[in-house]
Amino acid sequence: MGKLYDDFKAKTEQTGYYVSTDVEFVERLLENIKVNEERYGYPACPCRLASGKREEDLDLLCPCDYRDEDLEEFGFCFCALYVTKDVLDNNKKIHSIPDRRMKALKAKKEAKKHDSEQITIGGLQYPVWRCKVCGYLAARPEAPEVCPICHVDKDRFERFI
Amino acid sequence: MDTVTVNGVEYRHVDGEDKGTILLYGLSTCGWCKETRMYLELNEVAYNYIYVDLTSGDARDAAMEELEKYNPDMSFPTLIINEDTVILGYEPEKMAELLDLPEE
Repeated sequence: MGKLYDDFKAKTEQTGYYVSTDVEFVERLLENIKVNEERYGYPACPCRLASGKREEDLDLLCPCDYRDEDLEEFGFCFCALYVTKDVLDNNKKIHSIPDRRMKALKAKKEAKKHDSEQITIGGLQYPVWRCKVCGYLAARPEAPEVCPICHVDKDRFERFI
Repeated sequence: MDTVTVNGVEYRHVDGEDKGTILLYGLSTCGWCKETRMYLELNEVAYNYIYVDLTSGDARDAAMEELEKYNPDMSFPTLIINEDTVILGYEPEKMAELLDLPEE
């Protein structure tokens, strides 16, 4: 008991994020992410319904695309796995928050319709790729195989510019 | 295990004190869903639950269609009391109030 938590906490803090101090709650979530990984072949968010198709669920692979926004607005992610330093330092109460996924997916669909997703700037030598998990930007011919900051896979990148 | 079918969705029934028809939409892997179940069981409330991640095909479609009626965000956990009152997420204070249970 505790090793799973300690390893995850160390790994997470290396990427600039923080983990809830509720060891039992966190370990249960980590075990359930593992259950999803075995079930679907990818680490789907344990608190959202996965489809079984990775390409349809890219936004909800843990860490999900909504982590930053939830940390910004509430101080913790939907599952209450990741928290902000402010929540840790000030011992703020962690609670259940609304799931922004459905609204975000609808907004994304709308944006695609209006083709307003991507900014175009002429004369750039390389396209710019953005990691949807941590916001890392890379100007290079292709997105990197693995995000050098938060270590998620290439398919979590989007063409940004 | 007892099952109950409401509007074409099959739930597992957990015995306890009758506080109305309580339907819980959850996932077997979700932390707040487990907290919600633990809260209901600690307070010995009768309820029905479905773990949507353990369903597939038509059963899943029926469950999600039903859930969407009460919660367009289709998030988990969603608790439905008497087919009209909805609690989104793990909300012990709201459950205490709506189910007339002692505060924690």
